[in-house]
Amino acid sequence: MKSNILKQTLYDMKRQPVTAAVTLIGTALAIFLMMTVMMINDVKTMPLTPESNRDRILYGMNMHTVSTEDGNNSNSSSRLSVKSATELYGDLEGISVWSIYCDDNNNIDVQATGKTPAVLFSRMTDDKFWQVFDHKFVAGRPYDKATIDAGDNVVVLSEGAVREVLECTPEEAIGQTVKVGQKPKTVIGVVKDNTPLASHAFGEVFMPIPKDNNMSWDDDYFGSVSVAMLMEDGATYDQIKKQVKARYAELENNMKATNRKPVYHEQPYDQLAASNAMGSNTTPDTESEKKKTLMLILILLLVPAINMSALTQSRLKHRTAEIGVKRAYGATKGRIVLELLAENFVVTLAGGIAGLLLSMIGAWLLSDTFFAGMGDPSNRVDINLPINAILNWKIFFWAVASCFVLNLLSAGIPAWRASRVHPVEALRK
Amino acid sequence: MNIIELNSVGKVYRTNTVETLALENVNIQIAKGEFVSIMGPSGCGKSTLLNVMGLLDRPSSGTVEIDGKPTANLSDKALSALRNAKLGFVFQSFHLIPSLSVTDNVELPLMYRQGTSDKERKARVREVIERVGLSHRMGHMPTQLSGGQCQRVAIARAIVGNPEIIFADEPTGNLDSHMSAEIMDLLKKLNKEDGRTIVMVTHNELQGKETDRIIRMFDGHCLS
Ligand SMILES: Nc1ncnc2c1ncn2[C@@H]1O[C@H](COP(=O)(O)OP(=O)(O)OP(=O)(O)O)[C@@H](O)[C@H]1O
Ligand SMILES: [Mg+2]
Repeated sequence: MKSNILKQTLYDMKRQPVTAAVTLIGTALAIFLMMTVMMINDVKTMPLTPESNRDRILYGMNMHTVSTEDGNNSNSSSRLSVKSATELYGDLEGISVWSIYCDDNNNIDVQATGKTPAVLFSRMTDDKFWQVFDHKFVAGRPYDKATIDAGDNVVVLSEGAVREVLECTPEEAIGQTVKVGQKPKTVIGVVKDNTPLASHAFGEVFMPIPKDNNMSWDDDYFGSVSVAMLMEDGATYDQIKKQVKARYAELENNMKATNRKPVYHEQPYDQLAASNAMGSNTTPDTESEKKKTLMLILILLLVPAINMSALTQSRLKHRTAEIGVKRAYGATKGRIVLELLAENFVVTLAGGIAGLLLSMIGAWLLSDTFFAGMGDPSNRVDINLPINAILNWKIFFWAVASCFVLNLLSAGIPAWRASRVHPVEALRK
Repeated sequence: MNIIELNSVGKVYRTNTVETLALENVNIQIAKGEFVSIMGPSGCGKSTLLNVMGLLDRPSSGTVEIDGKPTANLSDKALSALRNAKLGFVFQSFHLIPSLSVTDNVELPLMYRQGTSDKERKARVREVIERVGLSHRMGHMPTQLSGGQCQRVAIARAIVGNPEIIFADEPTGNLDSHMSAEIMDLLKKLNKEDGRTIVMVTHNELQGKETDRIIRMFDGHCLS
């Protein structure tokens, strides 16, 4: 049977090459668009080095307070200070390691003596940052607690930064001095170029948050840092959330004297919620984001499916007599539908594979356009797309599944109608 | 025992404007192993009768029994299975599937049957193709065959599932006299040697005389 399906499909395509070509191209285009949406959506949550632990990472990102006085609508929100970060997220049960770091990248001038300065993305972090995120060191080492406590002026650069600023190899860079925002610092480590799609960990210049610096602009709870933490095996998101909620209650109590209270926005966020976090004073709405994507995907499949449905219909017209013969020889209506769907699936799959390849090649070659603005709004840095972002089983599975759905949508009704034709009528042809 | 029995069968075709009485009070018994021909002027209802007997169409009134079993209450699925197991069809315009080779065309009825292995099927297909004298054309496509050869392939397809009854609607209608004679010889052989019941519609008096019995029709009625 399988070989018959293939033979009949090929024969049908040869007999109506234009229809076949339109169907193939239409399918390829639909799957191409669909997979592009999928890939762009996927990189927000899939593990990407140096955020390899996205499935067990949680973020405490923001602080939001409102006044408790009557008639006072004052609203404050921003990143955390080291103090509030520690009070809300420090040493939670079920967390193996947590890091305080600046979640926002800052542009900073970096210059080596006698060379032209470059504007690079910098990030201030604690020493745990290197445990939560898995940056790959190609030379030197990360800064540790002792280095930070000693107040050493050190910096970790990316390979690209080394190339641009020092114009030397990573090994040669170690021990050299660069001016970072006018302050001389010693290069102690060089990490591999990383992708801005890993927006929490990405950076070109990494510097320690100085010891005893609250990183605060109100000398209290508001500041410029966030918290990233890794859940232990067996710990649940809910269990962590519950503890943070309790800490919020505590904080509310502590803040009474200031006539303000914190607003709890379901923090910490998991990767999905963090990728949907819009501002520091709102709760991310992952559900409506999911729905939007689903709608988009459905439209991307439905529109070409409706068009191809008409093509399938006209293709099947030529085959009425054949369907009559099959019915006479004992094929049930259901069997006819299955055969026609299977035949059409061959075409859809061929077009789908072409579309998938196209989207993979497109994403790879044009990654800077594909993922424009994600993680790097200025589009200055290279996306450095990790290969697993486009080459993974999930993408492959969804491509095949989309072909399956597209097939049902574009051939389902025509096949069903063809199977209902009365065999006597069909054989009169 | 009669292998086919029609009792007061009527068939009415209704369109928006007209009602055609294609069959009226038809009573027919056909015994197992009989070779029967149906003759009559064009439009008298021969094909309609054959389709009703072949379970491709349901009568508007009356009953059709195959092998002593009433068929009126059978579902579409059950009718399909019954056709597959017991009936074979030969059409005036051959109706070979153009995308499939001779072998694949002949194999078709076995595809809709459970429990035959690939090997059994292939052996059976080879056997019936030999039977109709086309062993040297197994891999050919229908377009590469003459009309007579096409009809022989269709006959091979009709017997591959070892059916008890073969329905043939003007099987030689599109063939010249030489090829027609070949096809008639083949059908007679299948009737005599294999004991298959054959019901054939024909316009050819000579062919009719070669069969066991002629059922003559006129305007939806059976005359004899
Ligand atoms: N689907 C249909 N709708 C309406 N009328 C039909 C239909 N099929 C057949 N008829 C009518 O029923 C009558 C019998 O048709 P049928 O095809 O059985 O004739 P026939 O004896 O086989 O003729 P021929 O020798 O030309 O093949 C004819 O008057 C025909 O016009
Ligand atoms: Mg007829």
